Parts: sequence; C-alpha cells; structure tokens
Amino acid sequence: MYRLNIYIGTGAVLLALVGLFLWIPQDTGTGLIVRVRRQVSIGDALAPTIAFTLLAIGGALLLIERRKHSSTDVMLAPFLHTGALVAVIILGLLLMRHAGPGFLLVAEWFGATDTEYRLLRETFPWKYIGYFLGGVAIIGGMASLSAGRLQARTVLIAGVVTIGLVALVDVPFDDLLLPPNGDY
Amino acid sequence: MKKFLALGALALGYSIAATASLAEDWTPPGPITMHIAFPPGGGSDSQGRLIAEELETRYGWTITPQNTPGKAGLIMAKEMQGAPTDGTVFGLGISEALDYGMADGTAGMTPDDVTPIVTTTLAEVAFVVPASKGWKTFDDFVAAAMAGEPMRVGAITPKIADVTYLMGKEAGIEMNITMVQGGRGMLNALYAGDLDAGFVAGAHSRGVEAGELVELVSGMSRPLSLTPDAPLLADLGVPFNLDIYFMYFGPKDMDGAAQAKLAQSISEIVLDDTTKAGALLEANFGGAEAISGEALQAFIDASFVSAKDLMQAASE
Amino acid sequence: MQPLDYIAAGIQAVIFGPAAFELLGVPVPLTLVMVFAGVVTGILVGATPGLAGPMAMAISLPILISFFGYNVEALLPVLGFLIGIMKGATLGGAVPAILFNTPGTPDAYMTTLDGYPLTKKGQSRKALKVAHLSSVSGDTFSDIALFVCAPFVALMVERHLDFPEKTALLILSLSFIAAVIGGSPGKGLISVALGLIAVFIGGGEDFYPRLSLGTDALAGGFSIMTAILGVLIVGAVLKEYEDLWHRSNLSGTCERIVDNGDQRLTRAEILRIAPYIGQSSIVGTIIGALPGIGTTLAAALGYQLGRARHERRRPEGAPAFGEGAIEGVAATEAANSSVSGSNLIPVLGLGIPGNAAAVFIILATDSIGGFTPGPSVFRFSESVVNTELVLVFGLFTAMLFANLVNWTFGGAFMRAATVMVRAPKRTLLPVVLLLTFTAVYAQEPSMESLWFTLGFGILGYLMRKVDMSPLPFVIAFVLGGSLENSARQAFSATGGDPYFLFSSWISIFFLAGSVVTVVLALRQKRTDSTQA
Repeated sequence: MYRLNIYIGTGAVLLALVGLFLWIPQDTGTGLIVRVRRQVSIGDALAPTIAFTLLAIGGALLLIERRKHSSTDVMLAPFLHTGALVAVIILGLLLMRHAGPGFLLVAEWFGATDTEYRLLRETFPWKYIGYFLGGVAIIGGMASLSAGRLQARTVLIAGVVTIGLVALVDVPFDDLLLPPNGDY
Repeated sequence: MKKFLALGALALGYSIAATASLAEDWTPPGPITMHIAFPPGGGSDSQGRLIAEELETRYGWTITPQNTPGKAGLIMAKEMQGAPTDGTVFGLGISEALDYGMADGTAGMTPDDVTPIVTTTLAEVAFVVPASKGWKTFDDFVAAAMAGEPMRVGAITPKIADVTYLMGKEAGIEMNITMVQGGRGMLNALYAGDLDAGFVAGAHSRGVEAGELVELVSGMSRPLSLTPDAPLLADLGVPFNLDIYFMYFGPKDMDGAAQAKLAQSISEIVLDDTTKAGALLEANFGGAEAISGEALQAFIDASFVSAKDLMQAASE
Repeated sequence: MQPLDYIAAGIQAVIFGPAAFELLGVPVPLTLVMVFAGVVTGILVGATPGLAGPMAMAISLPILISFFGYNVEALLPVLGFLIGIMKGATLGGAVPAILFNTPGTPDAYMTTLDGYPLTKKGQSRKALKVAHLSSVSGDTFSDIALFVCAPFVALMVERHLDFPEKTALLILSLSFIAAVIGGSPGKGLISVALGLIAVFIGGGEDFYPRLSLGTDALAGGFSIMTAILGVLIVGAVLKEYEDLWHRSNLSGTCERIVDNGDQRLTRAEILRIAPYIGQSSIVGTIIGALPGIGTTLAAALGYQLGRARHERRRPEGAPAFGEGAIEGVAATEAANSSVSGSNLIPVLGLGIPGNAAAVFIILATDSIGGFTPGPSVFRFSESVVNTELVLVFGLFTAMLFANLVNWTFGGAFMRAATVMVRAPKRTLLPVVLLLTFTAVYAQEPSMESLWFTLGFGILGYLMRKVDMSPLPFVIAFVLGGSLENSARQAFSATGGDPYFLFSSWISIFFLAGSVVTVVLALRQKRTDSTQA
C-alpha cells in the first residue's frame, strides 16, 4: 500500500499540473475572472482551477501521509482479468451499436429493398437485433470468462435473460428506446 | 399599382395553396426524434412532450422526445448540424439560441444553419420584484437603488443580463447582475431574499396573482397581460426588447414539405386550447402564438441583427 | 394555508392521489402501491449478496421516470418506490448475514457476529425476528427525528444563510466528506477533486463549453446519470467480479439450516433488547444526519456501545457479544437502520446528500422537476399553496407507510428472501450491468452515454482497487454545479468582492470548520499509523 500511495499521489499531482498549466488555459472561454457589463464576474476557468488545485493538494497529502508498510502487493493478474472483462463489455457494446445496421447491409446484398436503418429502427425485428446480440455477448461473455469455460448453457441463459430484459423494458414503455435506436 | 398588389396577392395565395398541398402529401418516412432544448421536468419540457403526444394521436406518427439541454439551446442547435433533413429530426427551443446565441460567432453557426419551423408562444418576460420590498413601480425601484445599496439583480440568460444592464445604465443606477439557474432558481432567490429583482419568463405568473411578486417592467415589445400598465423597455429608453419565442426548428435545408406540414400541424395543436399542450400554453404564457414561414424568417433575421447591436451596446 | 393544513394536504396527496387499481370498488392509491413494491424489492435486493439498495434505486429510477413521465404527479410514486427500496434493503441485508454468515449489504457485517452463532445454535428464526424488530424500530425513530428536525434546519438556513454562507456551507460539507470517508484525507480530497473536475467539463457561462477539447461529445458535459451509475454500479460490478475470480467459486453454499427450540420472542426478551435498540437508534440517527458518514460506521458504533453496556449487565451464563447474543443483533440492526430517515435531514433542509441513497433521492427530484430539495421547500406561505411543502408531507406519509409495511409484512418477506442468497453471482452481475446500460440509455438515448458510463465504471473500479471511496466523487459531482453557481452568485451579488467568503461570521465559521476537519483527520491518520 505504501508504494501504491506514492504512485497515486504522484499521478494526482502530475495530472493536476497538466490541468492547471495546459488544459485549463488552452480550453476555457474566459479566464479566472472576467469583466462583463462593467462588472467583475467569476470566469469559467476558476472552478476547474480550484478543482485541480484540490487534486494537487490531495496528491501531496498522500505523499506525506505516513502509512504502515503492509505487504499487500497489487498483483497484475486480477488487473488482466478485469481488463479482459472490460474488453468483453466493449465488444458487446460495439455489437449492440453495429449489428442492426450490419444485418441490414447484408440483407440488401441479398436483394432486400434499399433503405436505411434509421427508418426501420422502430420495427420488429430490427429494433432488437443489436440489443439482443450485444446483451448476449456481455452476459454470456462475462459469465464464461469468469467461469473459465464456454458452455452452451451459459449462452442460453444469457439469451433468455436478454429477452426478459427486452420484455421488461421495451414492451411496456412506449417512449423508451433500446440501444442503439436512439442514436438515429 | 393596384394590379401589382392583386398579382402579389394572387401569387401569395398560390404559394400558400402550393405549400398547403405540399404539406398534405408529407408523411414522415420513419420514426421522428423531437429534441427538447430544456432539462426534463418543468413547463418548457412538458410543452414539447404534450405536443409530441398530440401529433402522435392526430397523425399516427411515432415520435420520441429527447432532452438536449444546454447553453440556452445552442447545444441542441449543434445537434441539428448534419441531422437528416427529411423531417424526422427537429426540436423545440427558444429563439434566443438563434439570435443572441449565434451573434458573437463562437458558436460557429448562424441562423441560416437551421430551418425555422413554427413558434408556439411568446414568453411573458417581466422585470419582477418581491412584493415584500414595497416597490410598486419601476420608479420606486430606481429611487430605492439611488438611496441605498446597489441592487442585486438576477438574469437567467446572457441576453437578459445584457438588457438588464442597459436598463440600469439608462436609469442611472448601479446593479450587481448575477446569473441564476432558470425561472425556478430566480424565484427561489427572490423569495429567500438573496436577490432584489430580475427578469422572469412566465414562471412568475402565479406569484403575481397571489400578490407575492410585482411586475415592474414588460420585457416584451407589448404590455404584460397581468400588469398592462407597466412600462415597456422602449419607454425606459432601452432600444432592445426581450421577445423570446418558444419555437421549433430543424436542420439546414430541411425538406420544404416536411417544414410546411409540421408548421401547420403544430400550430393547429397549440392554437387549440382543448388540447393539453394548448391548455398549458394558455395557463403559463397567456396563450399560444404560432408564427411560421416568411414572417418567422423575417423575425429571426431582424433579431439576429439586433442581438449583435445589443452585444455591442452592452460591452461598451 | 396554515401548517396543519399543509400536513393534511400532504397526507391527502398520498391517499387521494391517483389510484393504481380498484380493490372491491375501493381505489388503491398508486403511491402506497409503489411504496409497497419498493419495500419488497428492497428486501429482496438487500438479501442478495453483491447487490445493494442504491444499485436498485439507480437502475429503477430512469425506468420509473419513463413510465410516470416528467410531471409533479410522478414525484410521490417514484420517491415512494425509492424510499421503499432504501428501507427494505437495510432489513433484507440482515437475512444472509444471519443465515449464511455473508452480509448482504456492507453495513450488515456486524450482524453476522451474533446472528450467525444464533443460527448455528438453531435459533435462526428468533435471530431474524430480533433483526426485524430492531431494524424497524430504529427506522421509525429516525423518521420521527427527520419530521421534527428538517423544517427547523431549513428555516434556520433560510433565515441566516445568504449566497456567501451557502457557498461556505457547501465547502464545509465537501471537506467533511473528503476527510471522513476517503480511506484517508489525501484520497478523500483526490476523490472530491476528480468529481469536481468531471462535473465542470462542458459547463460554464461562456458560449464555449469549457474543457471540452473542442469536441461535441464533451460539449454537453457528462450527465449525472452516466457519472454516478458508472462509478457506483459498473465500478462495483467490475470489482465484485474480480473478487469472485479470486475466490474461485463461492456461490451455492447450501448449508442446511435446522431450527430447534422455541423461536418466539418473549416479552422479557423484548424488554431486554429494548435499551440496546434505543441506544443504537439515537447513535444511528445522529450519524445519519451528518453528511458522508454511512451506515457502516453507525453499525460499528452501535455494536461497540452495545457491547460495553452488555459487559456491565450480563447475567451469569448469558452469551456474550460475538457468541450469539440477541442484544448484539439488536444493537447493530437498530443502528444501521436508523440512518435512513435522518440522512434526509441534510437533503431536505440543505439540498446536500449525505450518502448514496440520498444521492438518488436528489437525482429523482432533479430529473422529474417541480421539487427542489433545499431550504426554500419549507416556506409555510399562507396566501398561495407551496406545492413543494405539500409534497414533503406526502413524502413523510409515504415513509410512515413504508415503516408500516416493514412492521407488518417485513418479517414474512425476510424469511421469503432467503432464496435470494442462492442467486448465482456470476450471471447476476452481468445482468445488473446490462440493466444499468439499458437504464442509462433510457434516460439518455445515445451510445456515447454508454461509453461514458463504462469509462466512469473503470474509474470506480480503480478507486475501489486502491481503497479510495467513490462516494466523495459522487457527492462532489452532485454538488459541484451548485457550489460554482452559489460562488458566482455570491461574488456578483456582493459587487465583485473577492473576500465574499469572509464577509460574515457564519461563513468564516464554516470555512474554519472545513479546515479543522481536514487537519484533524490528517492528524488522526498520523497517530493511527505511528501506533500501528
């Protein structure tokens, strides 16, 4: 933990320096204070400046805080495992976003009428394709990854649960959109 | 001359007939996304949602309302850039986004980058003070300001802040102008005594009726409906006004038939006070006002120019 | 309207409000139905290890809003459901703690100490009954404290606090939270700072959305939903999943529970635990009213005080704390449940949330509109009806009804919730994740918001990984906007006085208080580590 605190503290201070001296000056419309209508007002840069200063103070405190040397090492393996989980989620979200329009492209190759996903986004089955495939990928993928093996049963459960969520969220609520249909 | 007028009328009549028939033909090619440039909850958001609901029941279209708030409607205007022009994407905002919001150039847009569709109502903008202060007229307010401390005045948008500043400058009084969050935030600050006065856009009506708030000045180019005797900004020597319309607009180069059909159908709904949307406008803003077509375009062009002048005047 | 009329109107708003359905010709009020459903959901969620009340509140909020719409009538049913979850979850959390030695919610950890030994002695049903009685008593006591204190706090604030003092009060709350719950003051400050930075992106008064890197995606800023659901739920799911991987396979521990002997709670036993319940209720209520200190500390403190008392008075042969004393269960459960009412005192009185559950109450009122928690709510105006005040009394009525449900059906639901303990985490957690994404998308239909949610989830995971509490982040994110606004307003309204924070004794007092809390926490930390 002792080492870890040094890493976090240093990271926080460095991030704060970047924020204070690069990001805020380059990327705010008004400075710390502005004169508008013959009156001095607080500018857009003040609040983030204070926030980054707090970050720097927090980091500095962490560096000077005396901590007991404990032997809890941060292991790499759990990080890799969580990294893999995040990768599965990213894959699931990408599938969610692109599966519907992708299927439409394929359908058009095979001679379906030329149209746009945008116009079909509220019709069955188009509106469920992305959500269903993405949902199955996320649930099935995470569960399989955690269990260390891919089983047909897991995928089946994932499918049933996703259909259950569709029934729970989409069917009773008229104005509620499932991903990715609100992006159009 | 007479002939020319007649010809003009004929031409006008023809063009109306043409757009009307064009409008009759139009149906959306797919589901519609209706942006609302206000945060969820509150009167402005309900207005959009009720209109969407009524359009769905009347025409059987599928409309999904979506809140896209921020920067007095500019965030929504940006959302329109690059949106499909077939009438399936449009939004409800305020005219200030198109005039003042785009006037200084940082937005990188001009009113020409959107297609105005129709207004729903003119916000009832009034300069309001708490009744507990005892000021009955703007003169009382000015007298109090001259006698004592500088007044703490709220503003809910930058355009309103500019006009407030010019009003104070013209009256020769000092005001500390403070930005507050929406009509609700202004009313809370007025009731709590944190602020002395401020322009409010309709949210104050109930307070005025209950005798808790007093309207001193009309911010619009016409008298206030609850306090018709209050002076206009022009009477106080301020050559600007706060005519802020709630209005629908769509992306640039929007399909003409869609624009016409939407303008026609939305104005029918808001002008009909038996609809929920119409009733809401009647209750909160004293009624609907549906301006579309060239009249609307002319209003926007004029207020864009005037907004630039306002910015100039307020920064001197 | 007179104060009494407001109370009456509030009760009426619940009872004669919109009806859900008719039962034998009598309309059943929607709000009461929602409270009931919330309590049941809460007990189930609380009883499921890995799930917590705030998670269920977070996921159901966007879905409820889409269902009831954005109007004032939606407030009572939605808030009723959320409060039901909040109250049910603390009750449900005791179930797995007592039966399986695994706390369903973190604050139920102390319950395992005496609850599980009782189960091993064959007295699980009695232990559940003690937990039920203590939990609901503590909760009711805390609610009464809320009803009495909130209006007074609000009136004091309204009378004495202007823009500068309100700014100072927000600073005090944030530093208090940073100092008390960050793991360490340094980490707490980092957590607060990150929350503030995140909420300041894309905001500002200029036409250029600050810190947006010129992108449209950041121009609108991060929405409160993506930030909070990401850090709190997605972060927790990722961390839980990692722990699951550590402990190879833990789900499916199917011990058989055998009860023997009299499971009834006698009058003498109730009298015996009553002082423990009373003592813990007071402790929990006081802790709940302070922002940032959660149920876990209340439970620990209640347990310690209970043990001290028990040591002094224990009759010969009676089990000590830790060996299956019903007093131990009573002391913990009363303490962690009595937090839930009083933590709404800062919410309703000041508009400042003190814990995750309170954050979602604020979020609900924020999203629906028509009700802004804070001092102005308690304006007993006579000429016009202050609808917000009527809503507050409606809310109080809903809370009392939730207690009634807990008193009457709570025990039975607790026994029924036993099945949830066996829910397979490995499938449950990804389902929670997908549900979270779906809920965020319902509120904000764009894939961008899902990417942001995932991003905040990774941040929340990393924070948990290094022992940094994500709660200061969340509360800073919620309060950041009002902090900046009140500072701007104070600055402008005082005519650009740079020392506006030092313009009155009250705000100087608040500022001094915030410095003192951080320094004290730092010194505490130092003595801790030198002793260790």
